[in-house]
Amino acid sequence: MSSLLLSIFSIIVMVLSLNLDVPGSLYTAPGLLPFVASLALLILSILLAIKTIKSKASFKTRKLNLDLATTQENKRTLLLLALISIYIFTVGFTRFEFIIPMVFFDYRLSSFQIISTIMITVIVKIFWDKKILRCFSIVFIVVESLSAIFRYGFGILMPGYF
Amino acid sequence: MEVFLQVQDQLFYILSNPILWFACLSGVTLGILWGAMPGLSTTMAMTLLIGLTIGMTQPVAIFFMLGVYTGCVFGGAISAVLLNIPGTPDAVPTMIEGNILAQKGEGGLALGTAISASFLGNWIGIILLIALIPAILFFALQFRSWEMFLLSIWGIAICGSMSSRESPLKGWIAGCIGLIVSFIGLDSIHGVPRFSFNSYNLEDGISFIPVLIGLFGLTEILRVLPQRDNSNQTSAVSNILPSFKTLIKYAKPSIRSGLIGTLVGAIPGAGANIASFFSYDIGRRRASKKEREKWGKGSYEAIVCSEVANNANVGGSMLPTLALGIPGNAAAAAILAALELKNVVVGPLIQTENPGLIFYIYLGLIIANFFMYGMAILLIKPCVRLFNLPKALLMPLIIPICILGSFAVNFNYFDVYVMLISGVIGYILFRLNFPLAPIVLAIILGPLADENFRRALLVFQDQGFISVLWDRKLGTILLFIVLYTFYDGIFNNKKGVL
Repeated sequence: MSSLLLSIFSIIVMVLSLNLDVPGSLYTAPGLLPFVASLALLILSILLAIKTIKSKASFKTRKLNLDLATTQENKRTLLLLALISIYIFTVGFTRFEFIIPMVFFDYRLSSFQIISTIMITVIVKIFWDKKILRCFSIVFIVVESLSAIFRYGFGILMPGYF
Repeated sequence: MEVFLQVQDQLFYILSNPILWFACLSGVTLGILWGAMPGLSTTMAMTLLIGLTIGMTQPVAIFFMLGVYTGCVFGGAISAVLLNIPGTPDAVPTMIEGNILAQKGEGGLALGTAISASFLGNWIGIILLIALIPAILFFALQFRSWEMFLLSIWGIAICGSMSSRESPLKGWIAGCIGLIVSFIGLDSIHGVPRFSFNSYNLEDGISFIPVLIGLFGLTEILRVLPQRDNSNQTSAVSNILPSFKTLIKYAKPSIRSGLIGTLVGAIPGAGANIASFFSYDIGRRRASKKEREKWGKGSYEAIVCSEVANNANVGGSMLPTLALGIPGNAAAAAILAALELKNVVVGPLIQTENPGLIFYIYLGLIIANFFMYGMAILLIKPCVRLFNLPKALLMPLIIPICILGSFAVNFNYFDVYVMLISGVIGYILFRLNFPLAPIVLAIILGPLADENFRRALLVFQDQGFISVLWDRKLGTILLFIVLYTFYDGIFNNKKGVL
């Protein structure tokens, strides 16, 4: 199955490489090495298919792929992936920042910090299975420390900055 | 005599300025911590931390940057061994061996071995830098387009055959996928957009850092966290440094790996990533039969080979940087930028225009190496204890680091999506027993291979194949080595291609 997908992928790349513009000599064509690499991928995929058929492992592979949403561990993997995706997309689409005046400095609370604290608390609660307050406290301290190190220590802006 | 006096002057200046020691120590500490964060590369540390040197004087800035460079190269090993997520790409071979040892409860000793190997590697690099500048530069400058292309392909071929748990075929397939991904974006010769589908983000190309974080960081999280039994194997922290007898045992591979690291570092464009993989592969081939069987299952000798090489690379990369003004790798380019920021023009006239500066840099590297050793030993126990936390708690806390690390590359959130997609693809490939390391190495080496391949073809267009083989002897040797690597993978490998 993986050999078939890889073969289709390599053929698509070969076609796309051949369709690229050739502004100068053929020796400097932008699609030259991509074509060679995809041709190599096609050959290797065919060899992989032959090897798989020879070793009669195709049934095992098919079983593994179909099992993805059935076993308990795979369900937890899909749940985790969904939570991480929601987390990443929410951070990507949200932009706000609160500036809270403190005694010696202005404390900045960005959308990244808030969303991270909420989402990571949810993930920790599900997978660590301890009291929510304990999970929240640890996550809050870690996210704030990380943000401070990145923002003030390394001078790196937070996602969703202004 | 004049040289001796210059060294003496610089030494006296350094010894009488505690601020220099402090700057170097701060740089080393920041570098180790930076390197330990998954995906934050040495180059990124060097380029982002240059900003901190603006307010510093020239000598302080140089010591600070040398400290960051030295610390960061080692730091990558910490998360590689303890978390199975490499801090920097050159720590991937260390990760392959070190994490298996950590799972057996030997994470402390694995890291201790990495520290000693890094210390030794730095020394070898520094000594060769001082002693062999003209000879190594002559060798390094023989590498032109054709040789650079072959070197890149060799790196991917070795990585493919080394890191695959099954047949090298899967490793090479992973390498081809990485190569194809590396071609996304504007072509470096004509500026033609390749596989970008009119997306501005794709026209900028795919940065290897988000891919690295996704493939190793997110994949590891997706693999480990859903397991019901994800309790950590506690690594011993009582006896972290290997005995003197053990170090003597690894003397031969250390010297060999140090030479490889320095030579590869001296080749402009080839970085610590290539050095550590080459050394790892050559180490396996040269190891005793008994030791070779441990390779890939938790070998201390393999850690020594990888860590000595990537740290010796620091000294090696300074060779062309200082002597020719051509940076040995991207991190050395950042050193070059920091020096130019302080009005130092490096190159063949460095000794004439800035007498004594070259010795000052040598001494800076030596001091940074001692600080790296000390700080690494101090930080190792807290790091091991930190990473011994339950994985169900530790792994989710790494997710924001993965996001920040990916975002920090270009301050573009698109890179975070690249990280997410890489993580998902990495997990699927992991489930299908494809190795992930060749993908990252191919993404790093792909542009180098592509540009040099086409340049070489342009140069050779009027020559016959035989005349190319005869004229470019180094290239011919490399070509045979590349062909042998594929032959060895296909016919001599126990796992077999077919």
